[in-house]
Amino acid sequence: MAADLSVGRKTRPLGLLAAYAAPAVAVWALAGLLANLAPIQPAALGLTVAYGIYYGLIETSGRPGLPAPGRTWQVPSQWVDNTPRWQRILIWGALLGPGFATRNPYAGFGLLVLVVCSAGNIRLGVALATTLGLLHGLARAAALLRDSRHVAATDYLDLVARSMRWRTIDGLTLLAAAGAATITIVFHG
Amino acid sequence: MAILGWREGIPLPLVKVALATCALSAGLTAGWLASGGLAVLAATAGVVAVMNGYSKAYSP
Repeated sequence: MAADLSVGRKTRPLGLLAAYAAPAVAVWALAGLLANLAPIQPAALGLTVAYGIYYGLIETSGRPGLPAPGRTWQVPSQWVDNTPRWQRILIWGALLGPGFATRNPYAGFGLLVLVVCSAGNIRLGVALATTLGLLHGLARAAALLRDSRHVAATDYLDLVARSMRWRTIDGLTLLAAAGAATITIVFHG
Repeated sequence: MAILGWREGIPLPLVKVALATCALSAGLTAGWLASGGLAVLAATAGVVAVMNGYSKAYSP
């Protein structure tokens, strides 16, 4: 997917990282604020356990199940066709950096929202959300930089195999998160 | 095994069950050691955020 994004050969890494990270931080900070206005920590922790175990098991096992929550929307090509490179990068960064706008193939993204809702107070929620947004945006941009430097030579089957490996790892991480959330409920529930 | 580069010898479902058990146990243990604080959950979420952002490019 990112291999198709034409950002030019002389992409300045810092500019690209900033174009993805800045919108991600802003959007996630707002999400962290809104998610912690109401006292929903106990419910969010319970949902984190259920979500982590369900998607962790189906992603690790490779069995079919409910699709990962998210949107199927993709950036229309006319938004980026025939636009200057800097403008294209800003559009991609604003839409892909935060991660909410486009498709999420792995269930881990939904867990991030639940963890932010589990913070329990606004200050911690905003700090946690900001950090998660920054990490997501930077990682998204890093993947794009990787793909823009190495011309994509992977075929479809290779892409599917890589995706399956990421899915399994994502599932294992979800299970670990479910375990940690369970203990949080036991101690503080 | 195509999933994790496993070659042969141990049945795949057994490997998956073992991995899933280890992951869940790791989360439980780390959470317990952190006295149930949110630190472990937050750290795990940080790892997920990086993985999720970086791996989307591999989605066909």
